[in-house]
Amino acid sequence: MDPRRVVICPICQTPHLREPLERGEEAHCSRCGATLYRERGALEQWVFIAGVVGLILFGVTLLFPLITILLGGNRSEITLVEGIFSLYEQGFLLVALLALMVLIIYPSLLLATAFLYALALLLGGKRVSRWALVLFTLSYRWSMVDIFLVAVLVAMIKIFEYASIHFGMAFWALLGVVATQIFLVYGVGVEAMWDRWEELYYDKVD
Amino acid sequence: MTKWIRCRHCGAANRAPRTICRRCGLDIEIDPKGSLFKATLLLCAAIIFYIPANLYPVLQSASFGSVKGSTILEGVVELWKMGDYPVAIIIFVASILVPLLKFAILAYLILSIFLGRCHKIEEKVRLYYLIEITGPWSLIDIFVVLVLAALVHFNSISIIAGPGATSFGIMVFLTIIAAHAVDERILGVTCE
Repeated sequence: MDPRRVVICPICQTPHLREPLERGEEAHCSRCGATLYRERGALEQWVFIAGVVGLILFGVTLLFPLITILLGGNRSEITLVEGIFSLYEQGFLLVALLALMVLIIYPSLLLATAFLYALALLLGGKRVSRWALVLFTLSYRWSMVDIFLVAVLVAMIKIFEYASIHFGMAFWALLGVVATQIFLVYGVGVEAMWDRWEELYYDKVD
Repeated sequence: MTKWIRCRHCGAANRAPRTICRRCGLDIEIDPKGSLFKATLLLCAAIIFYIPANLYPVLQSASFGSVKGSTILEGVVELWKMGDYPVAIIIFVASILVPLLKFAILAYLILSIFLGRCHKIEEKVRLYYLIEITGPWSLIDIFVVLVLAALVHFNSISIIAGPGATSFGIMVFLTIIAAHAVDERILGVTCE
């Protein structure tokens, strides 16, 4: 039995034979009913678009102010980088490092590797797309910009009675980054990306 | 019949007894003892850090020279008193309830692997995926502190992070890797 034709249920570990599906169909486990895989077609085009848009928006998120507040005639504004740096300045090195990893390094890695994977697939680069996808697989769990977005809103709710708040360009870009990340991680999914990689190189796998 | 191993990273089916995934090249070895040991150790460490994380303030506000700190629970109570019920509930669930639930679920999963219990394995695997996905959300309070501490530094009032923040961050980080150390594939390994 060719292992490329076998799919194992993530819930009950029952092996199934992979059957070709129509576009938009889903295969379910015969024992526990969990979703095994979906037919996505040429997902690399969508991943490519998401990667390009995500990278541009993340650049905007990093460079522009996130929030500006006015309190009693005083004005204060932050960018994401300044926020992390101020934790370090206050003596919270570990927390600052953690924030740097999950809010800047891993999100960049997630978007860059998704982009590279799709670009390499479109151009026919088997090895580059594989390495990009390995990096994506290892990094996507650690990107937490979605949690940060909710945290920004919670922080604003805590101070909106005392200060007037202005959402900067980086905030709106961050919304887009989060949408892209949700699309890549939950909409497409890492396993579908691997399946597509394997499908394109089906006869060429060593 | 061939025995198959599912890769936890890319989902590929591998013929046993491989130790490296044929597709993504990452580790696919099933090591029940090592996995239990790592998960138990990390869980204990996380529970230890949970204590200072909740006893010490994560956020301090300095206003006209006097510093007032508030722990996570005090923050929730304050939000509730101000009438911000949805936010109070979000913070309470994400920062207090989710870590506790995670401890309980992880301990339950570790114990049932250890004792080789065979009932409701699918539910246990679903619980496992649930804590994998919800775990990082406990960091929300740390990010709130990050935003407020960077933003609010005026003469009249300024907000700074509190000593509990480091313990809290470490605690959440440890629960994330503890959850990942539990291998969902070994929940029913001794069964059938």
